[in-house]
Amino acid sequence: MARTDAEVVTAVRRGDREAFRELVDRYHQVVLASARHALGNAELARDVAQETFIEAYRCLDRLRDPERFRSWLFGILRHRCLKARERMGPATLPYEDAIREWAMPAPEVEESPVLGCLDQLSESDRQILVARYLEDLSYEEIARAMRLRVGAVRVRCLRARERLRLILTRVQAEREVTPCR
Amino acid sequence: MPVTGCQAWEERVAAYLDGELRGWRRWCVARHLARCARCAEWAARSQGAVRAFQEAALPPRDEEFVATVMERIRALPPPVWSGAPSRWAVARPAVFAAAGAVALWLVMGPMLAPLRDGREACAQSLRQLARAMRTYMDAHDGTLPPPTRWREAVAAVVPETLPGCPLAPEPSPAAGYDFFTARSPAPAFARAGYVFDAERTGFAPRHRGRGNVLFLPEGDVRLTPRPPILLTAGQ
Repeated sequence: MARTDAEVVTAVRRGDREAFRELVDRYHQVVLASARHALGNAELARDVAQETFIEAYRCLDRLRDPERFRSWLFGILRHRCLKARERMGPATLPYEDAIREWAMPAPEVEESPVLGCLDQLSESDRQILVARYLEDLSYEEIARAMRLRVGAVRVRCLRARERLRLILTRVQAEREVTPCR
Repeated sequence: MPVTGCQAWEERVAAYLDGELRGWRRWCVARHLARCARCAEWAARSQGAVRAFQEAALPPRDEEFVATVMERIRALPPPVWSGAPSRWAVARPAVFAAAGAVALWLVMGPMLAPLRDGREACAQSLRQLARAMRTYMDAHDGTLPPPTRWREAVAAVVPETLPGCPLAPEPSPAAGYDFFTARSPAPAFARAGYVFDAERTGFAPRHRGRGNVLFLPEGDVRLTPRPPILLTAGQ
């Protein structure tokens, strides 16, 4: 039977460094996905996800309630993503690269139609969907992280969920004729 | 939500799907979904969209990523926190509380001094009053003064025996005798309350149900001439 987060955290704090692998193993997919949604760049997201786990390990003694490792970890990730975005600055390309990108056909990447269509959602909708349905945070945890009231989170979740449903329904209908991208 | 009649359920159904409802609320929404086909259909499609999002957004397991992170962690020097929480972390709240108490005492001490002095002056007055009462009782076969003689009985000790909480007579024609009101400068002292114990001819901490109890605001002390005399005050 798998150990709980709190049990693993306690083991790591007692000096069992390898136990941390369980946490990385458990959360790396969600952390990678969240970082990718926040940054829009797979390579950078990977770096930020790594740094997030390293920081979590180094600061594990600051985690007051080991039961809440998950929300604490995503708090670190959110902070790291903000920093990374600050460093990135506005999305610009050198003129030559921009021309080349424009002139060349888009690579044939087999990407999920759902992911492609997420671009049609607003930034705040994407954030709330990622926090609730990927990071699996409760309304209360999201409210704390985003400095909102729980009622506001509930409404935003509902709206984001509804927009996602409408977009997917529409795209599904369109895909019967042409692919989304 | 599909129909206007179900608009009111919109938020609740979404919260239900998100596992945010408990108890009665959860039961209400479950019952509504069981009865309302349109809402149930909407809920199913909405959940379908969320599942599609979750499946699409989650990347496959990445063993290489896990290995890289663990490699970097192994390369780190042993953390200082390994083992139980540090003694400082455990003792920190107590240390801060003690420091706060000392600081509070340093700040508040001078402010409390007058109150302490007032309390002592008032206590001394009560002791003197008790002695005066004993004197009266010794002279009258061990009996306390009747209400009409109370003023006469305490006249000898008022006001000079009560510098801490000087008495002022307050005529009460309805009762047929005077009340004596004094203001205690020490609220803490006044709140405690003291009763004149005729047998011991002294003041003892207040006993409920014995004698005249008069609570007056802001530390006022009121003496009534009915034995046993109860001196009390406070909120």
